[in-house]
Amino acid sequence: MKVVRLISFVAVVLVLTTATIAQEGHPLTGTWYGDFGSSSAKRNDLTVILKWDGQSASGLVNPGPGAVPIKTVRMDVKLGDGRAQGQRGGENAGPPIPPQFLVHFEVDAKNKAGGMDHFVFDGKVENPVAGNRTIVGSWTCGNQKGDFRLRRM
Amino acid sequence: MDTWRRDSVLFVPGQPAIIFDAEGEGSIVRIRFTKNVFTLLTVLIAMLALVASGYAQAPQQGQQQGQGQRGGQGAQGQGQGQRGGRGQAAPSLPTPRRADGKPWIGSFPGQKPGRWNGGPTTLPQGQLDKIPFQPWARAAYDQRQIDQFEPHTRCKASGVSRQFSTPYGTEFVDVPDLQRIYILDMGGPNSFRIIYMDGRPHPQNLSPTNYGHSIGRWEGDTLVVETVGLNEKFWLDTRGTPHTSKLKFTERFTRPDMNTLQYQATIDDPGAYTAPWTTNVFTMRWSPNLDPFEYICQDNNYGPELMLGSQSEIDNTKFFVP
Repeated sequence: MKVVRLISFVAVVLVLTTATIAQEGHPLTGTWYGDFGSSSAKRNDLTVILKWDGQSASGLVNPGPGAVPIKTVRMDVKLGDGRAQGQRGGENAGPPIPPQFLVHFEVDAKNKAGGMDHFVFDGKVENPVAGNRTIVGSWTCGNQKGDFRLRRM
Repeated sequence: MDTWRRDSVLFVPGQPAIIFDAEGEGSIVRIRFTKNVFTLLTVLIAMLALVASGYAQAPQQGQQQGQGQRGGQGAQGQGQGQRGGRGQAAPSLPTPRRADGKPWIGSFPGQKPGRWNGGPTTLPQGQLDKIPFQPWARAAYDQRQIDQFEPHTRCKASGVSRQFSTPYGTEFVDVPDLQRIYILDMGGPNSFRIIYMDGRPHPQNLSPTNYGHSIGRWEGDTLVVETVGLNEKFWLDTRGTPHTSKLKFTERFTRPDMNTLQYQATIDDPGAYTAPWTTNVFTMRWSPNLDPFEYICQDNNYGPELMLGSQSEIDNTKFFVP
């Protein structure tokens, strides 16, 4: 029992420490916390740690004793028109078109029957310049599907 | 002036006295009026001279308060007194030098401290389309043109090039005996960076910080500073040039004369760029006789709910003033 408590404590400390050093560089980097589910009534907690090594992203789901490495994670960007707020483009150009940051990650997790479930998450980073930006999107697992929302801590 | 108006006897010969407060000069001129016109003319000439004197001093005061704030890129070669188009530029004094012949890069003994103003606000200026951004970094840069949600404006210490576009300028304190140069921010976080000039290498396994670890050396009259160990909690400039903790940032400072500091940086960050790149040369201007003052970034912050890390969404209608 003491060992379980110790491991839990260490896991919490690790999560909090990672959150404290949350970065402003790559939009994915940091610790993300939120939930996913098939409806608003059926939700599951979800914690994701993502990092960027300069060439590729990697990550971990639900850090702690039951942590699951992320199998695949990537961010695709769609560039906007590069205009600044209220600048350039003339009066009829409308507001600037922002870039989009699209996130895709896949996780293989054990199910209660001992088999493996393959989750696929697709989302979009919202408020990408904010420290506590969010990733909002949808997920699928076999014939199940739903939505998820993560906020960077 | 009230006295002058109340006792307005200037044109009445024989009155005992006229008291004229020469406003702005800090002195009171007392004139005893006599009975002839010659004295009247003398008084008028004196008043005209006082007015002309006050007018002539205006550019000098403005120079101390605002010099350098407009300099920026392309201002190289401008001298003191050029602001406002009044008169011709006075030639700048030569580069101040230490006993060992190296330039004083900032304030120096025998003169009151001064500051550099007009640092680079946009590192990619003039070459944005040539910058070897990784796709995510270009997207982040573009996004920051829209949201302008900069950590520095929330009092976060912002290292390397961002130090030089902090409000109210930046002071260099060169201490040759300690083999260190301190760079003091006036506005924003009101903090400092140390450049080690003693030849030490960067430590291994640095924990990333906002100012990182800076070591400097002289290449002729140019101070070359290399900084590593930077975290990602700040922007490199006010426009949001992105970086990662893999950044190696090299700065070159050259003081060709008393009032000019040329600045150029090389960004080597494989986490955000596909190749190293070098900025254009930016010019900072010297503002003399400016002692550091206490600046508390939280003052006048009327939007604490918008501080980085606590906001729920970005409000593009507000401008943030550090």
